[in-house]
Amino acid sequence: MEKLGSIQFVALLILFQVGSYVIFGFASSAKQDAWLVALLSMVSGLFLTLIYYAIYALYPGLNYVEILRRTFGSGLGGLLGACYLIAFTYVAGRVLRDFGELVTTFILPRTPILVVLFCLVFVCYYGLNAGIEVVGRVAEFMLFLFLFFLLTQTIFLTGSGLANFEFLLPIAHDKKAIVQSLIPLGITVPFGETIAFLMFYNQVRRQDMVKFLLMFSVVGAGLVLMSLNLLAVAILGPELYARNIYPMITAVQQVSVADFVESLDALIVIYIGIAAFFKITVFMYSAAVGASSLFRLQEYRTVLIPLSVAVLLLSTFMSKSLPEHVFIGLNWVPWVLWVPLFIILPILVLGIGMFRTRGERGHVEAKNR
Amino acid sequence: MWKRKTARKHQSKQHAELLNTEKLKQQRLTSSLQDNLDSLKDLFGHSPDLITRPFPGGMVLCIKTIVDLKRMEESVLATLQDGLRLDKLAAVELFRVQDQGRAVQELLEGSVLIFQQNAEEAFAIRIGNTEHRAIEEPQTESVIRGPRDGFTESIDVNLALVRRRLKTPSLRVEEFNIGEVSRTKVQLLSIEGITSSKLVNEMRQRLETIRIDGIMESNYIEEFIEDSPFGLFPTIQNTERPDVISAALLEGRVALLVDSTPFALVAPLTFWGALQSSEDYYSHFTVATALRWIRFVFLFIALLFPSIYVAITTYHQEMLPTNLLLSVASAREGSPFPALVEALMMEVTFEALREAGVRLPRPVGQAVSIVGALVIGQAAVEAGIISAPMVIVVSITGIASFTIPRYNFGIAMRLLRFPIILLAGTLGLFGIVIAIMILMIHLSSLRSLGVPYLYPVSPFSWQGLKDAVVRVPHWAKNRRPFLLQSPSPLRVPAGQNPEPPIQTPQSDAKGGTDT
Amino acid sequence: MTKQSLLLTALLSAALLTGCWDRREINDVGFALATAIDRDSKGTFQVAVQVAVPTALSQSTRGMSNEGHTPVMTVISQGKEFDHLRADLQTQMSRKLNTSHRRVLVIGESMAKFGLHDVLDEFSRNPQNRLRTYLIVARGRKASELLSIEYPIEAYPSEGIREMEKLGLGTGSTLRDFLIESTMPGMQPIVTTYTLTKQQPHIFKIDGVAVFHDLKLVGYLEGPGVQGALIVKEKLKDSVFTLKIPSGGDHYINVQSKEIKCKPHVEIQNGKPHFSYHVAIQGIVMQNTSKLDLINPKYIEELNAALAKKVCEDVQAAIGQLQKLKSDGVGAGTELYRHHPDEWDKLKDDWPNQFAQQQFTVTADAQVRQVGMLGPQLEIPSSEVIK
Repeated sequence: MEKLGSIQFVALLILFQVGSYVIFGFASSAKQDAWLVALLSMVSGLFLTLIYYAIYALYPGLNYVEILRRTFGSGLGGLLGACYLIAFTYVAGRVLRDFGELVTTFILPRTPILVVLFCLVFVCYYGLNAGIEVVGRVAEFMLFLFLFFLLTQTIFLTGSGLANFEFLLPIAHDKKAIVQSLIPLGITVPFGETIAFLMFYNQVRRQDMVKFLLMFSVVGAGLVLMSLNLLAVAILGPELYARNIYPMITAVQQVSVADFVESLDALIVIYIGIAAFFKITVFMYSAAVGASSLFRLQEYRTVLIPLSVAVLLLSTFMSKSLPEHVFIGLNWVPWVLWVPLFIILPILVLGIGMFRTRGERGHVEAKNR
Repeated sequence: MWKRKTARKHQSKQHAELLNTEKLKQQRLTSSLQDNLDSLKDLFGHSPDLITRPFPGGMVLCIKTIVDLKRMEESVLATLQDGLRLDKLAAVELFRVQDQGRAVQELLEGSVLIFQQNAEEAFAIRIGNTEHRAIEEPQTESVIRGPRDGFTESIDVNLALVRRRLKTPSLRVEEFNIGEVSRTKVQLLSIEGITSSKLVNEMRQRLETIRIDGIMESNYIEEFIEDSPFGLFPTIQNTERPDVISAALLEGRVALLVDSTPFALVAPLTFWGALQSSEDYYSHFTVATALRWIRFVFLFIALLFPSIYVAITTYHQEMLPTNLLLSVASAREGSPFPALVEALMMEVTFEALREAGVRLPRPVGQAVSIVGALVIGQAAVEAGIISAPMVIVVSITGIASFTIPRYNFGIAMRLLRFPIILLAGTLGLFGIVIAIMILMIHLSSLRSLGVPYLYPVSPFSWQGLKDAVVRVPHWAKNRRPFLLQSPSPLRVPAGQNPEPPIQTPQSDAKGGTDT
Repeated sequence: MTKQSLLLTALLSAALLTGCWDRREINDVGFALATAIDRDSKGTFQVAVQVAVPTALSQSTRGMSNEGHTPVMTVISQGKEFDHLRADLQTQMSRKLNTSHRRVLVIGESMAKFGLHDVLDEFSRNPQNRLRTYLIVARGRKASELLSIEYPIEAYPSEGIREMEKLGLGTGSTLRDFLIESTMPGMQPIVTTYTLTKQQPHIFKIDGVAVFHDLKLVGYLEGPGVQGALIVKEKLKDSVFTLKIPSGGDHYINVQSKEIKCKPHVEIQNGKPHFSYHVAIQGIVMQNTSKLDLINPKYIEELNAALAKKVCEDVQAAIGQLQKLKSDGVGAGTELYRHHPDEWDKLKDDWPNQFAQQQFTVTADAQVRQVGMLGPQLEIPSSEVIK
């Protein structure tokens, strides 16, 4: 089994969690308090991740599908595992569509979306075919690049004299908006989504480090999200930030330094490449690994091509227009998919697992006596 | 880590049939002098340069074109006039030959075979002519500061050049004869105690599995031992410089000398290694670091500049500053071709020019480049066929591609440019980003003799970065690259950074009162 | 690996065969440099777009003279329905209209009075548009008149307007600023107005500041109010203040502002908000017609006091004028919202009227730092110099 180094695991996690929000903005409906939502979301993300890790700690060395089987038996566990697979595939398709829509709105308005989707899926397929270790290495490299670009962007934006941090006031005045953007969206994405990683915690080389790496990445990603939100609000003001579908892009477009660096639009295209790749790849990989252990296959690569085609088709036919897509994404998906699969079921699994181990321990102790 | 398909069994029985080397080994020399000579002559097809000379009690056999005739006369034939007396033979290399296979081999190495009447063995004295090109400055890797000697076509001279730099008994030289017809000498160099034995074994194993008729140049070997044979990027370094080989050996890498070519091979090679020049180590580290960064920047320019130009002018006009945009627009006004076609045309022309410059004799080559670059470029712009910005873009790209120290790496970058231009022309910047992602995945999946190609950036290694992204001073480069798994990783003991003396005589004399 | 490279080739050829949907050569694009939007008294809208003519713009194009070529081409479209005009513009252009390089948006006075609702949506929705476009109002003129003049010092007139906005003589409002200010609770946008000078009708000048309320032009700031508003917004860069100090008699001393900071403050006293502004300003003496030797710190003190007084007056004038217009152009409501959001919730529905009734305290701290190269004037005899 391919192994992931510590930095590779963290890089994958951070790029996965931060990825799309560098473009789409996070919790923009909370206006100037978006950074606060990011912070709260990070805290809830820490709890969720701890739950996921606790599940893994009960069954070290197993992936999530195997854990589900162990918990609920082969039949029900397999069924639930299949639910996750379908969910991951669906979410991969959703993310793909998100980026496809973004590219066709912003960069290539007349290009058929299918071409864009195909290109993105192809890159993901190519990466996964090379193996998760290679993807991890790409992530490692890209994380440095990504942080470098974020830093450049921040310097240029603040250097352009556009940022006005007064826009962040008043803090937490509209508590309703904060709660609304936190529940369910803020607590499930992006940190809840890291349940996809539960499929390959066992592939981290330093097993003793997994917990630390998870915590580190959640805090790191949370802080990055928070500072991005702070910056974007300071540049666009609360209303423009909240109304804009792509606030981060609009923010980056404001850069103007010395009449030469007129816009950093090129950065956005790079972000799109990085973010889309890692988000889709991780979901696809989890689905593929899950499928291979569900169907007891030797190699996850066997399912890659059908999986890629499925993701491509799903993303093409999942919704007819961007508004429909966004509407489903904001109002249906969180309640139907994310809350049960990211929160309720893992807690259940953890509960049953802990009950059983306690039972077993009691059993063993009784025997010893 | 050492993932490699070892199962490379060869079913090529014809080769064995053709050459009969194994069979020849079985054929022992007989006691009949004439039989021995006849069978050897038959083997060589009575070649005119295979000559025999009698001496009292025997016969001398050699290939006159490859032996040193003067030495043959003076030290062999002259002594033999009194019959064969081993103690009188002034020879450094003297071997007993007992079978035909060995006899053939010795003859081809430039030995003189001495056959005696009624003896079932012969003696071979190696007096092959050691004529070789004088040691010259390497043509492909010139430096401003640094040693000026380069490898020649003679493997012995090449090994001597390395030995002269590494005066240690631990220098291990393993010799292979590769090529069933050519029997080319290939020497695997490593340093016992520094090079990981895994690396040496791996290399040895790869060399042993090569079955080919002949080796004309080290690239024959390179293509057999690469980790990913279809990649554009070189995963094995070639060099003409003995100092590069020696430095690589000191890092714990392995080197291959191949006879009859001045290009030696070094493995493993990483992406960053391909961007380094030997001169980085001979100039001050700040300068070297700055130069490395310039190379990184120009690497991107070489790879992406024409594509970015095409993408931005045909897809993302909003990304240019207004004034620049208007200048470009006015320069492109009236230009008949789309930017994509223009870029492809100019890039292909540029590559053709470069190729023509290499192939032609040097003085003509220069003329071609000048005519090509200046006259065609100027004329094309003035005639309004090509827009001026495109000429600028192509020239800068050309210059950028020549800043890459490794020629074959530069070629890889230049070739990759074309698919990227096409992608940029169809999908704009998005296409470029897709291309870069694919390229990154490809680079990350490459390994050179098991070492990830992008090491030390990914997988990340702090120690490794000291000699990749920057070049730290020699006293701070404490460890050998981690992934080479050298048995003695410590290279330079820490704490050797020079400092001004704490108290100099002068500061004692006058500095005392100052404070 | 072979399989992968085959797939890669397949991808490439697929991308190539299907074509380049968005490819648009730079010469097939007409770059709008400025847009002027007008509305006449009968309710007819007019949109004029200035498009760059690249060959005429580059002076050194193959040595050809540019005579007979104007650097810009203006396309005008008129109609009763504003929404139809954009489509109409393209019908007059041989090149695809691209607005990503538009730098100036000029709104005619009557259009501004009519309201900008319809204008702004298109400008913030289309991803091609840049929010960095400067927004100005043509006062007493049609917007297209400002753009139709010849402006030889710059390549095209809108570049002139852009440079002037960057100089810091006006509010320097971009679309982004306008959108932020118009959507921010308790704030109304103010933008620079331009007009053609009377002496030379082919030169435009910065004329003052237009005040908007609910995206409609409600009036202009006049005289000291212009400067005052710019001070509160910290937009003033190097403006000249003409001051009189007690020791100088009837003579004036000109001080150029160097750095201006304006700190608003809101306090709730007895359940009512109380607003105050504190301005910190630094200045340099540019002209001295009095007989004073300005090296003497005493005069500088007087100068400081005079400058502070002038600044306070300007700011008060600005606030007074805004209160008359019932438009919170200085963003006092926003300050209240930011620091006392609960108070703001009580007042926000009636804020225009509330704003008109508020009392504002303005204090200023002025520091004249430099007096230039001379102490007293050079021409007056040293006996007359007042030390």
